[in-house]
Amino acid sequence: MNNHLSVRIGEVTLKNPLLTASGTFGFAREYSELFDVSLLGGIVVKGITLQPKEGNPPPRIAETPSGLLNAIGLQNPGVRRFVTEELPVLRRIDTTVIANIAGSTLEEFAEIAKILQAETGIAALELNISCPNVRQGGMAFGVHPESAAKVTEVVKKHTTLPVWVKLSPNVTDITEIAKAVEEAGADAITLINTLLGMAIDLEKRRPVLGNIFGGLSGPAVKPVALRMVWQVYEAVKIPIIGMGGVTSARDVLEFIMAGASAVAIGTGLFTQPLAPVGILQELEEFLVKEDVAQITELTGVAHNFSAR
Amino acid sequence: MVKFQALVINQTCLGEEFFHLKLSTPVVQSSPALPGQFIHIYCRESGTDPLLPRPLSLFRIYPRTTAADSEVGAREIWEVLYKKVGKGTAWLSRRKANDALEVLGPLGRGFSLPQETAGKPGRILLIAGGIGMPPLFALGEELSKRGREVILFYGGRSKQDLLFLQEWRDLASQVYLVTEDGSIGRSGLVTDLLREKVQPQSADFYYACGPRPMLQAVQDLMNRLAIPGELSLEERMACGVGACLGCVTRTTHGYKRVCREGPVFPADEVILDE
Repeated sequence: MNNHLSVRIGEVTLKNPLLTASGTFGFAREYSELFDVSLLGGIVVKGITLQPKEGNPPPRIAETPSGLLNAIGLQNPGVRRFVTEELPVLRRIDTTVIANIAGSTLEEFAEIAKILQAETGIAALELNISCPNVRQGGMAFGVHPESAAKVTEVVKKHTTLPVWVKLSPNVTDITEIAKAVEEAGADAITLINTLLGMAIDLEKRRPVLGNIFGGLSGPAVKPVALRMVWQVYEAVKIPIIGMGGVTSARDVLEFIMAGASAVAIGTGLFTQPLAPVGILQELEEFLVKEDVAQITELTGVAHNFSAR
Repeated sequence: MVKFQALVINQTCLGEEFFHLKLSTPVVQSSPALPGQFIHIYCRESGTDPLLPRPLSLFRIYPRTTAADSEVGAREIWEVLYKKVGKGTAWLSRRKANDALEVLGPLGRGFSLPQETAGKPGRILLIAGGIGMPPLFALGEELSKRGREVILFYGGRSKQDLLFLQEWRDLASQVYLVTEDGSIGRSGLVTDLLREKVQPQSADFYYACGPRPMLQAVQDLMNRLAIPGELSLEERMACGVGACLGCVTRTTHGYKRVCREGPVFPADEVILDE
């Protein structure tokens, strides 16, 4: 493995900047049947809650132009079964594992962090304070600077692992939230989660999704995601993991130049299940062609342009 | 499951909306395609529109036996039937012989074949509604290979919706057709005819695929007749491999993934009422 793709997110070293977005990759079991998932820079697992969660009633997804609405509702086996059933499988994969955790209260966030603190094989926690599809917790924490900071602070108290905070784009000023979680001790910021949206079924004269609203992802949201990464890069000093509509190496590079240190692919996997393989190859080729020694040199370079 | 390129052998338009596509695929040694399984076809040239692949059930599965075989390695023919309903299927309907298609498959859990009961070949009911027919044809071929007696109940809106009737007559010992407009077979719904023709001892097992309201009526009737069976379901799907949890359906064991634990489920496990 060459090291010019390797990046650092605080104290976490990734062999390359390509991660999977939480909720699109399960616990890696399924995609492991399709390609060697150890070539990824890291795997961010499906959001884990304290108790098992059944999720929302179907229909849970709707396709939109170059986009996908989802309202899964954090269906997951709960943190204890994650530890006994999924983590042992993940430990055998030769890449970095990041646990995405979602509490409906501050106490739940603390409790999940405590349980995972006892386990090996997790490099960082990603706090899901931005899920638009659950009634309690979820996005409610992520749309106010005070509550976002509070969650960050509480989890930091209960873990020695680096804490990444995943932000919601459904806010007026993303930089306020970013600055608040940085202040509260976040080690990195992940963005964006999905944009709240909906679709109507004309024949049935009702919303398509069982949950009425869902989160929009896919290429349709990429310009919004890039803009937010750009803004947050100018507002904070901690590393940024960018995502939203990534399907190609060009997309990854756009996020990096806008300020991301690492980039996640999510919905893009559904469009091309083997996309990560091609993206990594093309990143490699881009560095050679552009004579760039380390991909880290490109983070935020688009901010250096001269306006005149 | 494997992601691969399939070659179009040919494509035929059956009436204005239905298409019959024959694909040449590399043999997947690790997971042979089974009746009831489906494939994802990525319906676009390049780019991201449509974003998601189209899930299509396998209509026929058989080894390729032409002289060219040795040159290309072991290959299998997978046939699908589909209805042109949107941008993705419209794109697919324009594919011609020798075009390459991006395919992921075979996906999901297919039909379970009934246990051979010693010396007593049982009768099997196949209940098809509209474009739910294709997976039952693949199954019918497999069952008849195993010497099972197959009886078909096939319903649709009108004559144009009922496909491959000659092939079905060759395969099944009895074929009952029903259309809503009465343009072929009996007039009404497939369950009307089932109610009339099927008694508790008429069959050992049934398999059904079709629209949800039909499956619900079939499930209810067969339950009262105490005939066990399996239902093949359809649901909006994204990844197709079981990772995104987008395509779940309610069962007696909680939500199950249609793309992974399904699309075929034991009839007594599926909860269809909304």
